[in-house]
Amino acid sequence: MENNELDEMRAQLATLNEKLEKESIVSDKHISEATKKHISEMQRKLIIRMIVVAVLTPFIYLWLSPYFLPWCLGVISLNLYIYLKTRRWNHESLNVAENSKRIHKMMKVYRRTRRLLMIFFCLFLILVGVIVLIATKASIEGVSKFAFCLYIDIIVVGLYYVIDKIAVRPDVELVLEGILKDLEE
Amino acid sequence: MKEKELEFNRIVKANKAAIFTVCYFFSKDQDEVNDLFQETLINLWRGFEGFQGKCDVKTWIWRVSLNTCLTFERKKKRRVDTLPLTMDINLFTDTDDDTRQVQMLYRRINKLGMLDRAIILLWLENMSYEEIGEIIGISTKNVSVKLVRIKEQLKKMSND
Repeated sequence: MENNELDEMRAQLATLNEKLEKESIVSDKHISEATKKHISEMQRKLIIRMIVVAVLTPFIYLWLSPYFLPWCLGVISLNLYIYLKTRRWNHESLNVAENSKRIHKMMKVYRRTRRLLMIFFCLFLILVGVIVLIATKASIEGVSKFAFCLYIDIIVVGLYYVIDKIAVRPDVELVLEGILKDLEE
Repeated sequence: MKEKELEFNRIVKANKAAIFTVCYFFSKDQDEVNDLFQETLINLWRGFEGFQGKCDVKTWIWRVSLNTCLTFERKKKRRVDTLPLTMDINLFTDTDDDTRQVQMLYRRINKLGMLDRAIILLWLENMSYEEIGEIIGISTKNVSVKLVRIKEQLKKMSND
């Protein structure tokens, strides 16, 4: 490519920047609305999570163990708590920085609690497996039940990993991975 | 307004041109620019708490803006209505000389792939290979290799 063409492109970009500098483009209202939209998006996700766990609860109760009921209720309560907290923010006069701070803190608590619930779930399942294994004196049935518990554990940990490390990861990391793959090709 | 909120507003307003430039070159019409701009604002706001001046503000703004635009495609289907930007010009439809120049640049850059678009934009902004690498997240060597290829593509386009 000729250098003058590149210079021309630079000059065109400079023209654009000059034009944009004269424009207001973004108002305070715009910034507030953008943040408000984010809160609504988060609330929608919380509702979906609550519905999913609520729908799954009877199946977990019937198929796995009634002891998992507190776990399910814990997850629903946690989501409900965060939802009610954030719902109130939406009606308050929007303070960008304050809400950013709150959501950041809220998400931290949410992630930590979710990790704890996941660990509790996995440990409990292993315990159930071990009890069955001992009770059946390591019969084929006992071993298969223990293996089933481990299998569920692996699925739970896998799902947790996918949700926490991939879906919740900042988009930038995903993009960068794509870029690196692109470069390798 | 609290100090931090004022700081956020100040940063956004000071870098509005950079944010808009990225959104413009990754959009196909004014509506998409609005959507992208709002999405970028949300991401900037989300990251503002954790930003704390770990890198240059300009680098951070470019990084978040480009990242938002690069990942926008897959989010398109589930987006909600956005507010229009407060602008008197429309870079897609206005016909004055300056806008025509900008549109010419738009047509050139828009023919490139998403990542190439990001790299050439940063390069046209007179950023160094190191800065481009830092924003995109690739090595300086990769930046130079990519730029050579992009220039070749642009040359081919202008010959066609």
